[in-house]
Amino acid sequence: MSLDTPLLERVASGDHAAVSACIDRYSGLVWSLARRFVANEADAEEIVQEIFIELWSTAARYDATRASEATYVSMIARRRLIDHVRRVARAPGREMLADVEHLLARDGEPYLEATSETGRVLQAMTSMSCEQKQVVHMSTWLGMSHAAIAERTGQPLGTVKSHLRRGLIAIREQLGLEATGGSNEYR
Amino acid sequence: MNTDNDRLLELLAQQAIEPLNKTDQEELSQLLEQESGTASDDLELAVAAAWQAFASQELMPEEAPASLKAKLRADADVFFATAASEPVSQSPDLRSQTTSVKPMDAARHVKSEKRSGGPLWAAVSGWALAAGLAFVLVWGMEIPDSAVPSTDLVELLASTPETTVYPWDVSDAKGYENVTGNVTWNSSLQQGFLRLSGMPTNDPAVTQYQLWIVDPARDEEPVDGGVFDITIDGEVIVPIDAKLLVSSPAAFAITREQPGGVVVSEGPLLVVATTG
Repeated sequence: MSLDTPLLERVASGDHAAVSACIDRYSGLVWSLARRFVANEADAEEIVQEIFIELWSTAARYDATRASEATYVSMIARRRLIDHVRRVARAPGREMLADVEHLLARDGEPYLEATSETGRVLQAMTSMSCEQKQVVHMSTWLGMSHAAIAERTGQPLGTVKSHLRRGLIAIREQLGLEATGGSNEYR
Repeated sequence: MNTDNDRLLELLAQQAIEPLNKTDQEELSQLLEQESGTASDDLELAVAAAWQAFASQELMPEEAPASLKAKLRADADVFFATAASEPVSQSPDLRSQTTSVKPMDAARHVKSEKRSGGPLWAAVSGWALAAGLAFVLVWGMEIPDSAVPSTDLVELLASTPETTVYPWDVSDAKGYENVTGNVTWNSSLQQGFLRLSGMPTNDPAVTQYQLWIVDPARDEEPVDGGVFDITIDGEVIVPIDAKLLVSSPAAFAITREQPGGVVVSEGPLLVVATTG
């Protein structure tokens, strides 16, 4: 197995050095995400530990043909962090509900490294209405439930669900996920 | 797009965001059976990609604290070492593993005793140990038993705030230029371990490696940190055996000596980790 092989595949095949490299490569990403969602630093550290344990546990399931490693790591991290947010029932503050258009238009600042998938997601969002982007943002990024989004935005629940479904389908199409089938599901 | 497919996508989209109730879950399972070839987590990957995109827009990058990285490494050591201690009878072909295997009780036990926020190892589901099984066969062969710190030590170090990890400097000693890894040390506990990759092997009957701990606060002479052997390629982990109290280490250095080690080394220093 060469060094070009994705780290998680190397971890799953027993490459000890890949474990260390994985920590070096993704601990900053996961830590930044944890600090965004978890107020208490000690709790954030513990959740990051949980995320990495889950990463080791599921490394064999990673399929490089379906998603980048960063997206897979983000998926694992997201599950844990959203669980945490819901557990402590911390409602997103108003500052988190910034205008999506503004966020998407911002540039020139050193934010987290964007992957090619990130570019494709942003591309997919350019074809969405402002309301739809807002729903996708509140749902995927802030982890708000459909009902909470409906209440916050004043949109009917059915419209929220529809916006989200179409938004995710558009993103999925941009990522080329729909053609891959279910050979190696992550659940 | 037909009505069933619409409903399937709606349920998948909802599942990607929040847990489904029992009725919806049953309906989803039924629809998925009808729509073979639909990956139920495709939309979750789309959510993760969107999440990552928002993160790239909204989050300033932040380096994980060194102490957290040390904990992650220690957790990984415990995770894979514990996996290696599990009895194994299954095939090492991980991707074809479907058999449920035992959760890592020992590791969970260690963690659950120390964490107030719930057991860290609860993240480890039975099937997920399949990933660890590779290490039973591969990792287990790479690291000799005598060189592996006990899970108690690794865990103890990981859970103690004063534990620090120091990377090895790039060596200019011939044959040691590619050595990587780090030193994990805790002065309060007077314990630690070395992580070494790319270290040339030695014949224990001819020479042995010896660790030295430089602590100017106690003496000009470095403290003997114990002798050890490198008999395999790949990464090894070596417990530190400090013979005297070390309070403020300035450097950790490795020399190659006669079997059993020496009292005073004439060097050269082959690999060094400085703490400053």
